[in-house]
Amino acid sequence: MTSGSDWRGWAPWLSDSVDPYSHFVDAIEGEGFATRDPGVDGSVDRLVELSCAQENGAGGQGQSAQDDVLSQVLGLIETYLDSTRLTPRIPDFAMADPSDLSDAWLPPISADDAPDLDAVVVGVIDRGIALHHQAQRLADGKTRLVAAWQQIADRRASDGFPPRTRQLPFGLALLKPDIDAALAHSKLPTPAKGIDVEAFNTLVGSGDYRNIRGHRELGRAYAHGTHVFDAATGVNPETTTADDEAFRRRVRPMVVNLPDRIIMGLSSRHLSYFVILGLLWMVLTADRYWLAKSKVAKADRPDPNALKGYPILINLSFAKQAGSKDGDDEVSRIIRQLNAIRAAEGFHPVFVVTPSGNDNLARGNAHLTLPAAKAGQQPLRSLAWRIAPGDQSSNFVEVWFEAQDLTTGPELELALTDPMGRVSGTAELGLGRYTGLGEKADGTADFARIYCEAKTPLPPAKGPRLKRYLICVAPTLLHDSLSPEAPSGAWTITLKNISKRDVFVTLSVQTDQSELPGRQRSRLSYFDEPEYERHDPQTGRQRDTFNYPTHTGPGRYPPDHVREDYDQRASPYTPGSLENAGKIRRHGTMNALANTDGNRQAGVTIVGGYRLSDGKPAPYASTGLGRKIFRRARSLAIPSASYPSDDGYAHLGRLAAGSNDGTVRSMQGTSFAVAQMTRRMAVLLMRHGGDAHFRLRFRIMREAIAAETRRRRYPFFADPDKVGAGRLDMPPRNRTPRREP
Amino acid sequence: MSHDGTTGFWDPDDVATLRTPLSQPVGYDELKYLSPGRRMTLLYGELASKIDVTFPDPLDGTATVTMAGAAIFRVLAKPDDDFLRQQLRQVRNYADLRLDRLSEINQQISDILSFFGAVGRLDATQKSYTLELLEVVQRLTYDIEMRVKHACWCPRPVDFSPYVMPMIQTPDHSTFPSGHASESFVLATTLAQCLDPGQPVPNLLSNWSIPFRVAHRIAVNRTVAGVHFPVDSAAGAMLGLAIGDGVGALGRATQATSAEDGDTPAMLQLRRADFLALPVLQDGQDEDSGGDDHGEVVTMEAGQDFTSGWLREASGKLAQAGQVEMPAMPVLARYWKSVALEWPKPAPSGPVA
Repeated sequence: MTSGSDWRGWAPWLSDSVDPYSHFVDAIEGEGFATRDPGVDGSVDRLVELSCAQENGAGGQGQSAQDDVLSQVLGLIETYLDSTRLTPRIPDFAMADPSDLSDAWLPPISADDAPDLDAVVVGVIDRGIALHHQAQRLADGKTRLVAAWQQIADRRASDGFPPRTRQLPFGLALLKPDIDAALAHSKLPTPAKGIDVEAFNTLVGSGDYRNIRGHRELGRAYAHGTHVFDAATGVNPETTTADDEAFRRRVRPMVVNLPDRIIMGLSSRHLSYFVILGLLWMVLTADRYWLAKSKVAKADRPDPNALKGYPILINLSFAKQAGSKDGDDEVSRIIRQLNAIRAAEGFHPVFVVTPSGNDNLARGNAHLTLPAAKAGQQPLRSLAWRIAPGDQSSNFVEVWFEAQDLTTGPELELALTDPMGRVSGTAELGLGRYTGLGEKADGTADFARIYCEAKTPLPPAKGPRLKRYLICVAPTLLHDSLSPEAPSGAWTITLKNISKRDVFVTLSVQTDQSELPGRQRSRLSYFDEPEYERHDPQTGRQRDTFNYPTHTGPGRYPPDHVREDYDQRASPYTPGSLENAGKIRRHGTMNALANTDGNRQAGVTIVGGYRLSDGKPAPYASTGLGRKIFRRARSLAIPSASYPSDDGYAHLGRLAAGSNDGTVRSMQGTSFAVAQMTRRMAVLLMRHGGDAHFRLRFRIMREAIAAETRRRRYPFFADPDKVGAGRLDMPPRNRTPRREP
Repeated sequence: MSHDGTTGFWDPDDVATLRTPLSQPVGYDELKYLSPGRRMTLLYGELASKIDVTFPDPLDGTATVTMAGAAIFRVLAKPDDDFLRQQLRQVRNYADLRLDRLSEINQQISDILSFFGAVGRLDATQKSYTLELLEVVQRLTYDIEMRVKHACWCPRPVDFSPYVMPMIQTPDHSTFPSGHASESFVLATTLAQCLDPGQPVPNLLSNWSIPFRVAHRIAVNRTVAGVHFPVDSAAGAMLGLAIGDGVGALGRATQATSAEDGDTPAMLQLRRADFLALPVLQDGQDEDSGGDDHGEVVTMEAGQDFTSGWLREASGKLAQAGQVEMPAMPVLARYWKSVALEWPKPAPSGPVA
């Protein structure tokens, strides 16, 4: 155990341009692989200039109204890259050479490869998405995929294969012709059937055993992305119903295969970067195809007043535990800006679907209200934060509260005490500053830091200014670094209100994933207090947020006396209730990437999970903040609706494709509920997408409400905090039908 | 004691006490008079007498396997330390699959034949001769591979770095060629010829029929486990392929021998796999132009991987080993005939697998 100096005084860091997560991790964990300077950012100006010249012709005489949407999306990309503090380290083998970027973001396309004008584009952003499955083929055996961005594909060409599209700053884009060529190239000679999957995956960059950080998720039997992709867009090849044929032809997928967890950060600190660029690329590519197709079909277009572009759904089955949770994170901002552009240009909005999250029982979320300071009294609250021994990843807690005044420094003081009893100094002028604890006074051997910064919502987001303390603790076990290890055990976070108003504070432990599924290097830290009940002392079962009292009467809601008891037990606001016993809460564990934008049409749809057999909400499915809406949390009150994330009491998860074509795997979690919602939304857009007045999200909510009031097989009430408007269902594709006795 | 208590006085010249034995045991032609173990010993002895391994003294990393006097497999150059060091990268990357392959790898430490049971209903009643043939060729391959390993000794991954940390015990013998690859590919090759007797082995491999996929996975699992490099599996696969192809050729030749030919010996056409691990280029050396310049030699570069694509390409590089006089192999003849009866004929449109 180190016996170093005490916490240092606060020092500034370049908070405008350096993300504090990266500032800490770079100092502690060092670089894991060779990097290049982020030349991709420096070349963005050239990219946009070249792309605009390409679209406008040699003279650059100005843009058509149609193409304006493209240049605006490109502008969004440029603005994002200029403004983001995230600079992930992308390995050399995946980085572009500037000479590759002559058609930056805009490779040559053909209207022949474009989906039909009545298509719905479903974009899936995930990791480990297989591109070759039969369920993703058209009737002619060619791929249904419009395009795929393999974000960490090796850009060095495979011998004998046509060069893949290189116009992206990292990784490789495959358009439909490229995927079809890879399928043809991998076809086994007759009389064998099918394709050589290993060869195909190598060609498309999905089977990389050459580079340490290469894509090879498909080497395992289960792949998160393939499962989601199949559930959202797959059509079993043997089905021939009219509905399936229509789905196969008209629902056209696009894919972004995200990098591995090391590149994205085990805390998902760079997730937004790859998601945003992937999302914008998808929209850009879909719009380009639509414009090309509609130019060809101009004479036949039935309704020139219809919304332009393809309806676009984006399935984003990812969650982050900690964040501002005010609906104003980077991803939400981009979606809002994108949809503002599309609304102004008369294009279909982009719908994004995300999970509520699986962190309900992770003990990673705490709320507390500190009353205003009075003369001689400055209310104090402490919370234990446990960090496990043998944890090879850093641990983070975000502490958020509303800011009254950004000029006089924080109104809330925070002190961190390590297991050895060393107490940090409290914030003085904390904004844009950090303090650290380590073995050297010069900060070069820190194992813990606290960063303090403010956040102002970007219009049109509404909400208060917020301040954040970011607490960072180094791994408690480091093998390859000269950095010191942090002590494991109970760290104590102490908060003191020094302002004249009550301060509501949320504390969240940040996502901390293992490098690979099943690996044991990372351990999730958690808050700890004796008041938090993990299990029901009478039954021994783990406590979910609610107890789900039986309700067999008419209507959705149980009689008041039943509901009152249940609400009392679950309410975070009632003294003595289950959720209000201490500071650790299940309420408020919602995905930090989620945002409902109130009643906006084109916001993000959040999907909760439940068990299909009896309707019980999944205990791990995150809970909304509660029916009492807090100003900051307006956009994160509850999930939009729910789909099954488990099949039954003994059948965990839902069935969809495994990594290998023809296999079926069960995977569990709200990620897979999201895929079902995406599929339902795609079906609705197929039927009604041509109607400019069709309100997709309202339709989903109404369906969910109708399902709840109509359903009788579920004998109990499920709170909207867990299931949103209601529990929806979808006929299973991969399940053997059972005959009812 | 039983004799004294039961026979009493016996005069062997008393013809009344004698019986006339059969001129040969029941099932003599089909070897059914023997227990399976004894039968396999006969087959093993017959095959082993036709296969040999030669290598120079002192050892130079080359070896030749001959069958009926013709070379069917040659290691032209083993990989050097630089080559293997480069392939450590793949060993590290394949380790990401360890959790997924854990149960397979543990089972395959000592049993790979079971995994082929899923291919074609290998059970001791309906496929007894096939099972025995497979066990014999596997045992034969084991004997051969050990001698090739001795001649072409190379260090194991863990010898280069403790970070490899194999998930199973590293065996004491050479990493090159892989025994698991040799044996799994001889099983696959033999089984593929049972499933589709009309197709030449290179075609079966090129078509990526199911037994080869199973063999490939077994071989790759050894890299996942951290006890082999991809080049070990590549050479082992070629060795197994060559032995299986040769045994199949011998078996078919025994069926083709015609009584009408009288004293004219049948000729046997064998194929040969030559394996060459291309040396890693040092600074200043010209870049190797690749396998094409090596004609019918199966090559592997340090940066290559043991993939299905590599195998299918290698199938086109098996050379003709020339014709040799078919040796007399009565035991194999009977086995091959019995094996053929155990398998259904392939459908007219194509093979079963």
